Parts: sequence; structure tokens; C-alpha cells
Amino acid sequence: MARDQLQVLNALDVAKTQWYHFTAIVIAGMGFFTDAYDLFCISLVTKLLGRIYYFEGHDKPGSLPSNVSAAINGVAFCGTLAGQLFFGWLGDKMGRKRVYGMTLMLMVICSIASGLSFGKDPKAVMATLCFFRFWLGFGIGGDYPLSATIMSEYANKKTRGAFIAAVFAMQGFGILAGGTVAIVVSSAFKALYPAPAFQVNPVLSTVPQADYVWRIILMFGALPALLTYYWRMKMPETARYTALVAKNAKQAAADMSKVLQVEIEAEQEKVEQLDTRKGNEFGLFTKQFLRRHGLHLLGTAVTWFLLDIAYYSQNLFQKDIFSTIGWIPEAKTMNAIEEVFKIARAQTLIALCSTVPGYWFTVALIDKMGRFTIQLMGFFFMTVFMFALAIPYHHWTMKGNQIGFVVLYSLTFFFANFGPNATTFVVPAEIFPARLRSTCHGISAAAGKAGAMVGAFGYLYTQNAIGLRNTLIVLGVVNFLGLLFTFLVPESKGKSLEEMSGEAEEETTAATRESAMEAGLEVRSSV
Amino acid sequence: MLSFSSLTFLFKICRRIQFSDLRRAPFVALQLEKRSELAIWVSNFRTLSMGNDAGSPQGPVTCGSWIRRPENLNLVVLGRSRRGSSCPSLLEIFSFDPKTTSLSTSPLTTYVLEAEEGDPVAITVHPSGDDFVCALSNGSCKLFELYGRETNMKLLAKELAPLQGIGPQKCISFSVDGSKFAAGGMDGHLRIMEWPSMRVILDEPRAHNSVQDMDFSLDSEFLASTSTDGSARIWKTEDGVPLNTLSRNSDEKIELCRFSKDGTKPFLFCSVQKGDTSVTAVYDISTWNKIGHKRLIRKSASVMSISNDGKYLSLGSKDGDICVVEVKKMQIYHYSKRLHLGTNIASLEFCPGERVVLTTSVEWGALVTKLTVPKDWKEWQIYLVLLGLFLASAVAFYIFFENSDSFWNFPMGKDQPARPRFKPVLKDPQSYDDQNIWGPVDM
Repeated sequence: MARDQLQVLNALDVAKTQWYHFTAIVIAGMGFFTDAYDLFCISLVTKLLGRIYYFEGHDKPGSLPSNVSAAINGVAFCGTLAGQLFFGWLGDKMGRKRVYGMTLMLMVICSIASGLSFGKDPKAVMATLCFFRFWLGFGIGGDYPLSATIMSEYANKKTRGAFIAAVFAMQGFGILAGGTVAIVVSSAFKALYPAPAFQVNPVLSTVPQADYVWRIILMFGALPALLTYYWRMKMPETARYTALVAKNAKQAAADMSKVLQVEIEAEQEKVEQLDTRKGNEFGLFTKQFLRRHGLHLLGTAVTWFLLDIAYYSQNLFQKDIFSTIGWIPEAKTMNAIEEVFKIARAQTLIALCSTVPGYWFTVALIDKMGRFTIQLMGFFFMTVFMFALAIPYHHWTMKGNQIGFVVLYSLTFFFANFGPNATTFVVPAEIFPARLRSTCHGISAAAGKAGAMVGAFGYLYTQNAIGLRNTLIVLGVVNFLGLLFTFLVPESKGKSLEEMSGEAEEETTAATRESAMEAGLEVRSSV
Repeated sequence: MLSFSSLTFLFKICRRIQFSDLRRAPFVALQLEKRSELAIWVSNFRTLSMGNDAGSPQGPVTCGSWIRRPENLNLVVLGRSRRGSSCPSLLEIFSFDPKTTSLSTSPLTTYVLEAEEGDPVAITVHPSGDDFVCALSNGSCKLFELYGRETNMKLLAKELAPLQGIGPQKCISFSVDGSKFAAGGMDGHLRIMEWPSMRVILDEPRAHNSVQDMDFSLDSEFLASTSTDGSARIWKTEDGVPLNTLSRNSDEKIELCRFSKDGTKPFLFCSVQKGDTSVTAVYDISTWNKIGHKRLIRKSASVMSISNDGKYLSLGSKDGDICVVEVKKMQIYHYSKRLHLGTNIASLEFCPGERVVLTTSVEWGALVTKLTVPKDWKEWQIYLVLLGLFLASAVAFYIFFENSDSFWNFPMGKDQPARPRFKPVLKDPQSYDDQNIWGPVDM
């Protein structure tokens, strides 16, 4: 009888753990959700900004010049880079948990402020928006690694892989939420304030209340940030040895042994262990690292860089592509708020059918197919579909063929997320030695941020210079280069971190008696 | 009464003359009843906390602990044993003033223990700060709950049925997450229970020869316990299974143990006596192998403690010294020689929110000492840096704003339809297409 009761208690403990971990996923994932909402909702409202503040005349609706559009879209990524450096340094100084509140309050304040303006002058509105978008990015840059830290702290050993992937997939829901909010707000304003199309009446097609639409959509980003802040403050201070969870225990022990007296035993096994430790102590800027891991680091950094060029440019400017091929009706046939509605609906449909399923395919298959295969397949299909769009470009622009274009375009998003977007995050955390893992992951992530900036700023100038068709060809070439550089990255599926980083190999090479005795003598004399 | 006090005073003076050179040893403040004018105050931020009621001298302090309260308030609980027939055993709650680094001159509340309950031996405070457990010399443990605010605080005592009559307990401890309680007896009996349900997880009568020290790990997964015969064992707190025995040489005796509280350093720190030398050994808790050792304190260690953020490790010696070590580099950052002159330090604990330690000894009572360690960044300093960056970028943006007409490329002199107008007038548009050199995004 007592044994049965204990089993019931065990079952309750297991159920309790599951509920607890579900809560932890939401809390950790809220950071990624908030980041995705804030970074991508700007693309939904840039057309409206052009209509309101760049009214030109009766010929066509106003639109943002290229440099202004690039600035508004890309300034947040500059802030992200700066924030990542600043809060990374701060986290090392005073512990990462203490800066949770700062990044989130910064995000809340700047989300609200980006919907406000100093004065009614269009110049002041644009400058204020860019300023607060920069600082919103600053907060996001600080929050992103902190969300990853919470992720690693609350994962236990058994559910680590699925946990991390599920948390990362919250990005897709953030993008969905941005589109949904834009649809709801623009539908409400369209119903409340009917307006004729631009070609019917250019002035009246943009109602004065349209100014509220973009402000509400941007300010709504403060809400998930506040929820994240509230839940993190309520989070119990359940402590973990993060070194054990992240499999950094060896590194921690090695660091500690440097400040202690290590007892020198006469045993052979001890001497071999010392020799092993000595053999693995190369730094980042050494020939040994370059020979063993240089190509790996090049592979992870370049693939992340190339992916983010394509991914961010496609995400931020997909509405322009849809307008150019005619899937979204011509701007002059709609009023300002109707245009926001159609753009939001189109982008949300893409996210719902392509981006989010891509994440979950990766979650389900990453440990079966392997990281290398998923990344290779993802880049391959992204390349194929991009060229399929670009080469017969004229065909897609004809009446009745737009759906085909949209389907192929969606598939590039699907294979971006069931592909390199997920694996470029996972692989750098697995293939480098423990001692250098966080540094190498940081280098790769920084390369990714640089790619995002190239994508945000470079796309518009490219399209204006060489046209949409050739721009798509350039993106196809970028994806193909990503495919090539994937061959530099080794497969890490099913291997322990020690095997992957080559730390296990040293033990076999140190087996010879002479080197062991020599190492023993050196260590003994140094003591 | 008066002659008794005089004799006590003279005895202590003689003792000090006999056993220490007055010129080398720092004077420790000694405050006696009815002779407060003779008290000598010591610099270095040491302050006595023993409250004195006129005509009723207090018993010696046997144990003490910090209590973390809401709104960054920290209290101290002290246990006093009885002295003679006129001074009963007490539990006293003091408030701590971080500005002056001192305890309040009189207790916020006092609980008088009955004569048959004996003296307080050990105190452990629940991480929530609402209650604590006190081990008594009569062989039972009692739960005390704190009620009320600082001005009208009360202590409510409760019996813990599973802990009645279990024999004197050398050490008692709550796990870091507050869900488990452990008691180590002087008879070597080790108990681990769930808290607050008191369900038994481990009940091992022969865990040790006699329990000397024990500690829960940061993730509450392990319990380390040491014995007076020098052995140390690791227990799994989930089911009470013994996991491992720490390795040691034949001449080593593991006496004290504390788990690291820094999540990036999965170690167990042990105070090991090797012959007549005391060293601090570090074990890796993923393999339970010894990483290395270092000599930190000069005399034998009697007590060990670790700060709440895991940054500092502290040792108290049997001669009254304390030293504070930074864990990352295992360097001594603070050393107080003869803080409790010539006396075994009974308890040593870091303040939850400040770089201050509480130490107690039977001879000298309770002291709070401010540590000479590097200052941590304050929260407001970070916000100041952030605000500075914000304002600097605001200035940069404003300068750009004032000199950037060509960048924004607004059409000049046009009516903006989104702005409300009293009398909207439709004007003939003028063509400025050739000035828009960038061109629209649409093609």
C-alpha cells in the first residue's frame, strides 16, 4: 500500500514538473515573442507613413524615399548590435539576472515613445520614430541573450533539445501577433472612417485618423514586453547549475584548477589526465584553433550572415514585392487604411502557412535528419525557389499568375525556418570546445546581426538600382553561397559535446608512455 | 550582584593579560552592565549587538542567523543559552541597519525558552524568511514563525512532531528552494524531510559517526554531510539514496562543506585538516573528484559560509579569525585577525543583500563586520550610464535632425492630408517630379 502511494506521488511530481516546464517555456519564450513583434511590425506600417507624410500630388500615393525607408526599417538593428554589446558587458559585470528589468523597461518605454512624436512637423515625426526605434533595438539586443540564458537555466537535462527549440519557435508567434494586431486595428479604423480610393479622391483617401493606426500598432509592442517583465518578476528563483545543463562543467573545473594547488600523483592515469588537459588548452587566436576549428567558425559565421541577409530583407520588404507583382492591388486603387489591412493580411498569411510550420518541422526532425542535412536542404530549396521566381519573372507578373509567385515565395520562408534559420542558432552551441563555445557563438551571432543590417539597408538600394528581378537573382546567389559554406560545418547529431569538439581525441594521442612521463616531469618541476 | 560583576570583569582583564600581548592584538569592545563608561569601541566598523538590560545580564550567544524580509529588510535572530537561575534561554530578533552596519540596541521581540527545553544549539531560517527552526539541547527541534511588521513583531512557537525527542542535532538546514529540511545529529543520525509536509525522505541512524557539517546544493539535488571521523558523504535529496563518498588521503579529515552558489561553478568546497594544517579543497560535483586545494586560513577552520550570489567564500577559525575569499580566483579579499579573540567562532553567515557578515561566539557574542571587498555596481549607477547614453544619442539625433533636410526629402509646400484643417481647400497640385531624385519604391 505504501509503495502504491509513493508511485502516485511520483506521478504527481512528474505532472507537476510538466506543468512547471510549460510555464517556463512561456516565460522564456516571451522574450523571443516580444523581440519578433517589435522588430517586424514596422514593415506593416511603412506604406502608411509614406502616404501620410510624403503626399506628393494626384499622380500616385506618397511613399517613403529609399533612404528614409531603409533608415526606419534598419535603425532598430543598429540598436540591437549596440545593445547586445552593452548588456553583454554589463551582464558579465553584475550578473545577467540583475539586468532583466532594465532591458524590458527600456523596451516598454521605447515602444510607447515610438508611437509619440515631438511636434507635428513631418520631419520631427520621422526623426523621433528613428530615435526611439534605435533604443527599442538597444533593449532587444540586451534581451535576446538574456532570453537564451533563462532558456538554458530552466531546461533540465532530459527535455533540453525540445525545450530550446520550442522557445525559439515563439519568434514565429511574435510575427503572427504583429500581423494580427495590424489586421484588427486597420479593420476597425476602416469601418469607423470610410474613405474613397486614392484614384477617386487623392486628398480624402487618407483620413486624418490614419495617423493613429501606425502609432497604435507600434505602441502595442509594449504589451508583450510588460507581460514578459511581469512573468519574470513572478518567476521563482529556481537555481540551476547552468554549467551542468550547458555541459560546461569541464571548463568550470579547468578554470578552478588554475587557481588551486593541484596534487601531483605518481599514478599513470593522473599524468595522462594532466597531459590531456594541457593538450586542450589552446586559445582563440592560435594556430591550433585555426587548424582545428577555423573552418568551422568560418562556416557557422558566414552561413548565419548569408541567411540573415536573405531572411531579413525578404521579411521587411515582402509587401513591396507583392505590390510590384500585383498580388496586393495597385496603391491608387485603395485608401490608406485599406492598404495597411491588405498588407497585414498578406504577411500574416505567409507567416501562418510558411514561417510557423517551418519552425515546428525543425523541432520534430532536427534530431532525426540532423543539423547538416536540414541546413543543406534549406539553403538548397531557398536557392531553387528564388531562381524559380527570378528567371521567369515576366511570367509571374501577368494577370492570374500571382498566386504561383506567392506560393513559391512562401516556400522560401518555409525552408528558411525548416532549415538554416534554426540550425545556425543550434550548431555554434555544439561544435566548439567548451572553453571557447560562448565566444564562437557570439562571433557567429554578430555575423548574423551584420547580415540583418545588410539585408535591411541593402535591399532597397539594390532594387532601385537593378530592379526587382535582378534583386531576386542576387538573393538566390546569396542562398547558394550559404549552401556552399554549409559544407564547412560538421554534423553534430547524436554526438556528445566532447566528441564533437575533439576533446576526446587528445586522450588517445596522449597514450604514449614517453610523452606522459615527459609531461609528468614538467608538471612536477613547475610545482 | 555588584561583586559578581566586578569579579567577572577582573577575570576577563587577567585572562587577556595572560594570553595576549596588548600591543599586538586589537582591542575588542567589551561592554559590561553598570560599567558602560568603560567600554572601548573598536574601529573597522565593528559594533557590539548584545543588548543589556540593567540588572539582568544575558546568557552567552550560541548561534545566530540572518532573516531576509520583504523590501530588502534584513533581521538577525540570536540564540542565547541560560546562565544561572536568573537568566533563561532566549531567542531574540534584532533589526540590521545597513547605513551604520549595526544591529539594533534592543531586540524587536524575544522568546523565552522553558527550562526543560534546554538551550538553542542551531538555527536555520527558511528561504522565505517567514519562519525558522531551532535545534534545542534537550533533543527536540522547534518551529518559530515571525508575525507582524518591524514595529510590532512577534514570535510564535510550534512543535514539530517528527522532530521531537530525536536527540541533540549538530546542524540543521533548509534546501535552497525551501522544499526540504535536513537534520544531522550528534549521534550520527541523518534525516531529510519534505517541507512543510514533513514527509520522510531519508532516516539513516548510522549515516556518520557523528555529524559535523552539512549543506544542500544550489539546485537542491544533493546534500553533503561530514563526520567527526573525517569522512564526507553525498546524498541524493530526491529519494535519500547515498550517492558517493568523497575521496581523501589517509591523513586528511574533511570537516566542513559548502556547495557553490554560483550556477557557472558546480563545485563543493570542503575544509580539510591535514595534520595540523587546514586547507580548502574543491570538488567537482559532476564527477565528485577533487580539483585541487589551497591554504586560506592560518588556523583550523571552525565554520564555513558562502554568499548568496556565490561570489565569496568565508572561513572562521578556532582562534577567532575570519577570512573572505573571492571564489573565481580563490584570493583572500578580507582577513580579520582575532575578530573573536582567542575563541572558537560558532557561526558565520553572509548578509543576504550587503557585503556584511554576522559572526557569533560564546565568549564575545555576536558581531556584524563590514567586508573590505570591491564594491558591486549599484542599480542606480547602471541606470545613470544608460540615461547618459540615451541623452548623448538624443543630442546626436537632434544635431542630425537640424542639418538633415536633404535626407528626409519631404515634398515642399504641400498640404498633408492627415492633418486636420478647419477649411480644407483643394488646390491644384504642382509638379515636382524632377526634384524627387530618389524616386518611389513602387516601380
